[in-house]
Amino acid sequence: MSHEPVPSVPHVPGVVAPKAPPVVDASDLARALEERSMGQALRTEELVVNMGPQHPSTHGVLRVVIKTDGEVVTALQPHIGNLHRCVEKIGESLPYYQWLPYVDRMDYLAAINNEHGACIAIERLAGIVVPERAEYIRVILAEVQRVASHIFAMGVYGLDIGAITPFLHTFRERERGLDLLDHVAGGRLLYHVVRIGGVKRDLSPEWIDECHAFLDAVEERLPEYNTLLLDNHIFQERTCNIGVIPRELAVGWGVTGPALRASGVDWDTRRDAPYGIYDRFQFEVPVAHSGVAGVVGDCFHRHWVRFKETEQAIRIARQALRDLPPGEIQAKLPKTLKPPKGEAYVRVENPRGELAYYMVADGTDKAWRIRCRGPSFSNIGVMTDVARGALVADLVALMGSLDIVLGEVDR
Amino acid sequence: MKSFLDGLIDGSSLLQAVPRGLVYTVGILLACKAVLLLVSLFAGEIVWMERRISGRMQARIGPNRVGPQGLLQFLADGVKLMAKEDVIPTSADRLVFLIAPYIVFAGVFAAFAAVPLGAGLVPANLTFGLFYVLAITSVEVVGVIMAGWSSNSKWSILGTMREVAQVISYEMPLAISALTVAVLAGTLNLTEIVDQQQGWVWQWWVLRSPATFVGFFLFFTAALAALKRAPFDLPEAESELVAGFHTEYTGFRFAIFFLAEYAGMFLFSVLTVVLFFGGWHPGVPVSLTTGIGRALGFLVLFAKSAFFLSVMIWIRWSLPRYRVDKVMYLCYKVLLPWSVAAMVVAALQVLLTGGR
Amino acid sequence: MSDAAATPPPATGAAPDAGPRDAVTAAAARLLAAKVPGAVVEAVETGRHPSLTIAADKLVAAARVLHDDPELAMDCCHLVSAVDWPAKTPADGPGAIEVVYHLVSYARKQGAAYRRSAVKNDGFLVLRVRVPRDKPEVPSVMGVWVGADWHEREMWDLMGVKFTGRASLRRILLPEDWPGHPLRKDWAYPVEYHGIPIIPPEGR
Repeated sequence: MSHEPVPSVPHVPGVVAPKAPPVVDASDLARALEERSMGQALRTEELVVNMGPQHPSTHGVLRVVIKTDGEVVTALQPHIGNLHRCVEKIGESLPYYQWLPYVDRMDYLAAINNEHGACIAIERLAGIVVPERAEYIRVILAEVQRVASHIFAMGVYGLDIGAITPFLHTFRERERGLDLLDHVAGGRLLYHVVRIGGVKRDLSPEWIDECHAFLDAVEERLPEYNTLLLDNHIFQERTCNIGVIPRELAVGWGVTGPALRASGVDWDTRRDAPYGIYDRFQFEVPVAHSGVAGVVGDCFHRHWVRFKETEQAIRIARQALRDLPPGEIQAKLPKTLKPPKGEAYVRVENPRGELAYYMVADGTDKAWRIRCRGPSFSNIGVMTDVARGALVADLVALMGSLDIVLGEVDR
Repeated sequence: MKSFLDGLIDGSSLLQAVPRGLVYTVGILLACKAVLLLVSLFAGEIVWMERRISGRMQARIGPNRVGPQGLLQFLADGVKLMAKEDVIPTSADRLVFLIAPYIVFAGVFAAFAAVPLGAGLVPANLTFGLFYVLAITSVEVVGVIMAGWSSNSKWSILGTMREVAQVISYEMPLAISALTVAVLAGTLNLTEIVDQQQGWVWQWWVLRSPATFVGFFLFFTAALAALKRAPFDLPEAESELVAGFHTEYTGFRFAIFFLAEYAGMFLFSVLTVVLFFGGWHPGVPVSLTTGIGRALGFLVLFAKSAFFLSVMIWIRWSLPRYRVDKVMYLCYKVLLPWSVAAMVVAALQVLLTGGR
Repeated sequence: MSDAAATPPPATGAAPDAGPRDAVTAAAARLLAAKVPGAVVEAVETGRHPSLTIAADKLVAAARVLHDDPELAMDCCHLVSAVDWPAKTPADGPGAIEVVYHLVSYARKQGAAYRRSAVKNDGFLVLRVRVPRDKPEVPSVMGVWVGADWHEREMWDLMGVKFTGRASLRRILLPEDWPGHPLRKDWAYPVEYHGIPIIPPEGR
């Protein structure tokens, strides 16, 4: 580095390198080099890098400004809002029925789960009772969506780590899942099939057979994905002990979903605060524990929890398919839905964490206030505290393991 | 090459009329052109091979439309890349930016001068061939550093830093593991090394000594690092550094980087075959030194190197990427001690048995 | 400060229907009455929407107590939201903004017994802070729950609630130069933004 520094590499004036506590060996190395460097003879400066909004690993239009000392990240600041579409504001100006399609666009990889939560919130406001069969159909669709979302997340995580093949393998199965949902709803990603008071379309016997085949196929393929990722030595080296989110930090930041369970918190809204009919199903909640690999709370465990959850989602979907009762799929609703004054706070377990809707009704056909809590919104925040001292490569591993969807961060 | 040209001049009265120096120059240029074409052709077909194999591995089809089985895909790629605009960033160091891709390619291309592709099919049969090849391939690194530095892009600079870190890590195990063969063979001449492996399969260097057996794996691993192939593709790590050192390159200049990468793959797989797997000898005692035999020998060599190319492709599409400090750990603390140990074993073997 | 919000906001489920008390809210009300006197302005422990209305100046102390209490252990601030309640007529005063905190405890909710008891609010403890609309200043709870950071920034961005006592309060979703806070009920659509015409929903 005895070159003249290239003039246009911006030098940030007044930035004194904050010496973060070392987290990985690499920062030790950097510090040792610094101590031993030939002092004033060499001039070094921190590099401020804009990671995103057009970066392959930011999963959308997230912009993270990172300050790096060589490859060691000394500070980072996520900037969000590039995908803000005013879902909450629109909710105040549209009737409940018409607002529903907008929630699909929040977490576009788990649209059914978004709709599920929004419908439950509106139903709770208006006191609507959903027919039994519709409840089961909702669970089936939501779990198929969860399987699709989780295997997608696992594959994309491989892509972040540098393994391209598992991504395409998981995509193969995911497309099958999306086709299933397509057959019910008529759309590939955005469905608008879960409606207030029920669901739009019924499941045919052929669809149910097809769904069983899909679940079997995914169950069969899961070990295959693991040979490429979880069991892979390089994958473990890249993810174990990387981006460790301790339990307290995770809870304090409001991290939810697989990332929370990966930090060792035994909590799943479907089991612990059941919504819909989730209290009728038998399933386990995978919680990270030491003894698999790495330490609890690292990137490896977030992937591991996702893998285990996929198995459980398949299990729930099978039970729901087995118990699916005959009957109506849609409650009788008035033409204009005017819930009485009141409010509702509903949280549902999305693939990415707890999605929550805070709705305030004022007695008209439009909501007075709708506030959505996107799980990714809280999950990204923790990154600022965890990534300091990591390498750029670890930052990518961390971001990928949190599995963020910018659509619901920015809403 | 010189003897070949001398023979040509002696046999032709027309050539005797022109100055010898000119004949040499033109002859060498023509030979260069031939090698360049050959290397480019192979690089193109390796691209096709990589796409087809990766397609198979990823449960998709891969290119199969351009020409039979998509064999002409590389031409389509080439045309596409040529048609693209050659963007030079305004803040780039223009001259360095412009020549960097050619230096990268020259590093790989120049190495082919000493690599025998068949009996007598070697542009320059150097007595220090192995040494030359290992040395000249390092030039590629200079080009990469030039490209990354002159782009004046932060991702490129990070990629360059990784490349430098990687180079100082893999160069030593690469050279030392290749030298295990040289120590046992008693020569650095690649043609001689191949000729020592004539005969049955167990005459191949990889099977003749525990040192070379280990040396092969070390060499191949270090070669992957030298080629910047997954799992050691850190300098261009797509998901981390966008495209690393060639982030800012487009069109034809990008194509040159591309070509250099695949030519490098071909180079190192040929080198692996030449050093450890009998070169153009098929593993049965037949002589492939004259006429049609030479051509057959070349095909044998190509088939063997195709196998190693497939292994490279297979590894690339199965494994995640290492982290930069893990690569350095691997090279310094695993590959280097093992290669030194292999070298010592080889030296002891020479000492105790008198070689062979 | 909460008294300054002269206009009583439209009853958000204020009609307490009969039924069991919400265990969490009742316990929190008892705890705050003992530890931070004067913090709870209004406690609704039964009905569909059990919640505690907290005085703005006592909020951080109350939050600290709720967070540290080994029984309640509200270790996670699930969501910070704000609801705009403008006055119906100018005579009613400036109107109020209600900042709503949904707190939840992961430390405590491991037992099945608790899960059965938490029927009302899904186990949430709802805190409300009512501040006047023209001076919406609420102390930040970022020191208690670090996760409130981004939620507070969003509420500043969209609702214009000024959270005091924290390092920086920058916009989070909208551009820095965006006019006003769009979720306010009286927010008017700008005509254009940097040359981009804006068509309000009524004009579509």
